[in-house]
Amino acid sequence: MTTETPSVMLVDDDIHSREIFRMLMEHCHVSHAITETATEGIEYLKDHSPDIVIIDLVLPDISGFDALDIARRITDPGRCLILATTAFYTMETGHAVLAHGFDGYVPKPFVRESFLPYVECMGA
Amino acid sequence: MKPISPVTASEKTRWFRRLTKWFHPRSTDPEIAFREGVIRSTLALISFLVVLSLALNIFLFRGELKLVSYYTMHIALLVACLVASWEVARGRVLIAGWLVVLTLLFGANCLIWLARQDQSPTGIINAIVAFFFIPLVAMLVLPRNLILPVSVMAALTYSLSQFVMPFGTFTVEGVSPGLQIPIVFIGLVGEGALLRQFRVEFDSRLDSLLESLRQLEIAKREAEDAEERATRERVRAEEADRAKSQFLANMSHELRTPLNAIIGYDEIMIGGMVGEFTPKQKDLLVRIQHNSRRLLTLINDVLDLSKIEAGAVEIQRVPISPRKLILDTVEDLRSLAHTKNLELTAELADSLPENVIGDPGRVQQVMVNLISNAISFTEVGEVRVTARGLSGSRWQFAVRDTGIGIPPESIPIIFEAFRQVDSTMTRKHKGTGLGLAICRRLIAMMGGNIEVESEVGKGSTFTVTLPKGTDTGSLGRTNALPPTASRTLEP
Repeated sequence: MTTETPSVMLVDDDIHSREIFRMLMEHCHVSHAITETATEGIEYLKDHSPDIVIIDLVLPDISGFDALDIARRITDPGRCLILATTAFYTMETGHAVLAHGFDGYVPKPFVRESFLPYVECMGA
Repeated sequence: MKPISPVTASEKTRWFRRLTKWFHPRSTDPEIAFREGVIRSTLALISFLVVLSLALNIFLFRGELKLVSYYTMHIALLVACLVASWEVARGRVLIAGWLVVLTLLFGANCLIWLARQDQSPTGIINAIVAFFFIPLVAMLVLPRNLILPVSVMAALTYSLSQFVMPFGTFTVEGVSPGLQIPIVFIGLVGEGALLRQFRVEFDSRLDSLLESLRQLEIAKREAEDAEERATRERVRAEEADRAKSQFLANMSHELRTPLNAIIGYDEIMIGGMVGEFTPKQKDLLVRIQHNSRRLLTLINDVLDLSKIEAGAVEIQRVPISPRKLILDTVEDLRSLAHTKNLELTAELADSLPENVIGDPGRVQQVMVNLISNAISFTEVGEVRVTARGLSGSRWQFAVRDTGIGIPPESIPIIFEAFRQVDSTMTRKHKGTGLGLAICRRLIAMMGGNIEVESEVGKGSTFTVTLPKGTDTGSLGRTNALPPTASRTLEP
């Protein structure tokens, strides 16, 4: 079953967001990877190709928008969705991240429904 | 033929400017500058006339070359002019003024000497006239207290030249010391006194002019100072405003991050991801969830309202599809309606424009607010969203519910911040009381308006009218809006 579900990766510097994400993914048996900084995330993307990458817009090293540009260059555009997330989530930021070239956004707080449109298995 | 070197207009004007520059006084004191200007002009005029007269003497009259002759007089005058010019160029205006007066005095005396030597009666009369110019020039080039002494000097030197100095025995009938000297004395001193009076008058006018100029300068500087102060104040206020906005943004981030963690962990426990809880425990977890969500909404609303009040909200102008925006929003909120067993439907008229110009985030925010409100305040029945295009360049959407309604006396206050019809409603219906206030302000910023019709016990209808913002129908593609935008994954 694990092999059938998409692999999801999160780049977020907030420890609780990472923890909640990990628990949700484990509960739904979704293979996942978590990094704290954009630099680590980019290193990971060089060797792996997850189906979904979720980038927090406020990161300690570089901004989420810069991270998006780098991630776009090293991922397969047809196979990888790159989403934004932020605690600042409003409809305004929602439309802004789309305008910047993200494929979508995952509003915080992370709950199962946040990922629903992107990871089908999680509805189960 | 030698080619003529082209003289450009700018060279010509530069040459002209260099020539006229001589006439501009350098002194900064206006009183001295006036005298300096006159001295400079007078010297230029005298030099020019002397050179002209010398040329006439050399080429036309061919006068005799003697110690006292027109030639020597002209040369002496020229030398005096040169010295005076040198002095004025060095900035010694008083000495230059004296030199001009003495030069003219010398010239006038020369005329007497020459007339007596040449035995010319008309020359003597002309010379007297020349003496009467001396106080006039003194008035123009010397400080006013020197006008009278110069007049006396002129009268004295006239008397000496006419009657004392040895230039032959030529006399004119009627010209005698007894008669001439008193007349010339009285005439010159009287003229000097009169001119001095003119000069006093002139100086006082100059002073009052200068005083008003000075006042004007002070007023101008004060105005500039005030403007500079105002600019400084404004910059400081803007900085404070920015700092406040930044503080609010940071603060809201700091508040939201732990709250997101609470909601996330709580959801995991409610979802049974870390083992099963007893029904009582689960009930408490759900209460935590509800209250955390309320707090989150409150934080978002307060931040939003303060941003709007501070004028920090910018309204975007991009092409949006009202149809898609409404359907997406209704789709998003359908599950919320279903938790209360309510129907949520959308009815879009054909007149609804395909594209309008607006701010998708803000329009959707208003829709979400109105629809969630309708769901909150309705226990039985349905919530219906309708939309249509209006004649003119406006479009409209309305949210109708079959809820508790609003008493007529409360309708005027529902759009005010922190006001709900009944404070118990806030607790019951989870609202912050800010949603409608935010909506009304956002709609106003977008150039639209919001109206409400309501009947207690029957339900309420909120109608929002917005400008289309365009006259052309063909606008670029609209922004996609996940998560509702369907995009399937093909791993």
